Amino acid sequence: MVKLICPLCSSTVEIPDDALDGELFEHDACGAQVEVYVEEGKKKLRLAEGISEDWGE
Amino acid sequence: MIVVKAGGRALLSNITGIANSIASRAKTLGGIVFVHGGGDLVSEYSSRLGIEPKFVTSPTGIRSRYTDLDELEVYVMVMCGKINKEVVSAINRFGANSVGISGIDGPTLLAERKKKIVIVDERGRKRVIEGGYTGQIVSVKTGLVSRLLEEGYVVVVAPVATGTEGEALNVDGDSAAAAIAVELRAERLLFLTDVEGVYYEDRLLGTLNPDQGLEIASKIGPGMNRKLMLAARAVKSGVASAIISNGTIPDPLSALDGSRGTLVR
Repeated sequence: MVKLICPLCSSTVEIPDDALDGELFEHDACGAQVEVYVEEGKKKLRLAEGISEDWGE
Repeated sequence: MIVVKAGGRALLSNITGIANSIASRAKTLGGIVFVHGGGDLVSEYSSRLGIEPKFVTSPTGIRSRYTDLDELEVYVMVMCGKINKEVVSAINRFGANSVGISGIDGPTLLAERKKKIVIVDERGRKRVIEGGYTGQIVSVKTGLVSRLLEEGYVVVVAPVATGTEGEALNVDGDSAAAAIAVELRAERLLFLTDVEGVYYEDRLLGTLNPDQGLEIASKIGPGMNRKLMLAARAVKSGVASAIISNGTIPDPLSALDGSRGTLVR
């Protein structure tokens, strides 16, 4: 597991080692929906935007 | 007037039966709008052109085509060209007058492109990816369709919409049919599939009210859940009734009398 900082409550969030860019997690401690992104080769977290589902044919 | 939607599988196996069924009622139902699907055929033509079709699954289990720019081109060609014109020809062959349009024409279907979407990936984990060229319908302009209906034409609509930046977008055919039915205050919305109707706990469901429809939609498999949800929402929005029925039988529109399939009202 990788330990990252929650962008909402600043406490630690553990995410799997194999988490990919764009992957979403819920931070159990504060309930934040967080998105993994990669910057300069390092995984970081940001708050996930309100993103809807795909609806194509 | 009524709105009928047939998926690609029902169309491929029974285009003659569907076209004949529509043509024979073209003058008695106060107008027919027919929305077609055809995703499988788009996949086939994509493969022929060396473009592998991609599909994504949403967190609620809805599986959709993922449309990049290359696939959008094939989607528009197959939907607006091959399928739409084959349906129009088939209906005309049975003595009705029909016109084929897409949601771009008019414009009729206006959609919002999703720049980002959430999927469940192959590991079962939620992920944000670029949205591709799919859209969610935000409004329907009925001017063109109404004029054509007034002139006595059966209107055949391909599920392609105009985006906010003028781009063509792949929109779900079931959603397009439901949106058109609501906007035109259709008497009935008929979804033709390749099964008898909605099955729940191994039983074919008969008549449901919209609330029951929405509740059961959350408990059944991908594909049918969307149809049932849209049927229930359409009825809540003013469509008198919605039916999900078999499009592979000789006279699929015979379901309009409520004698077969699953009826929501």
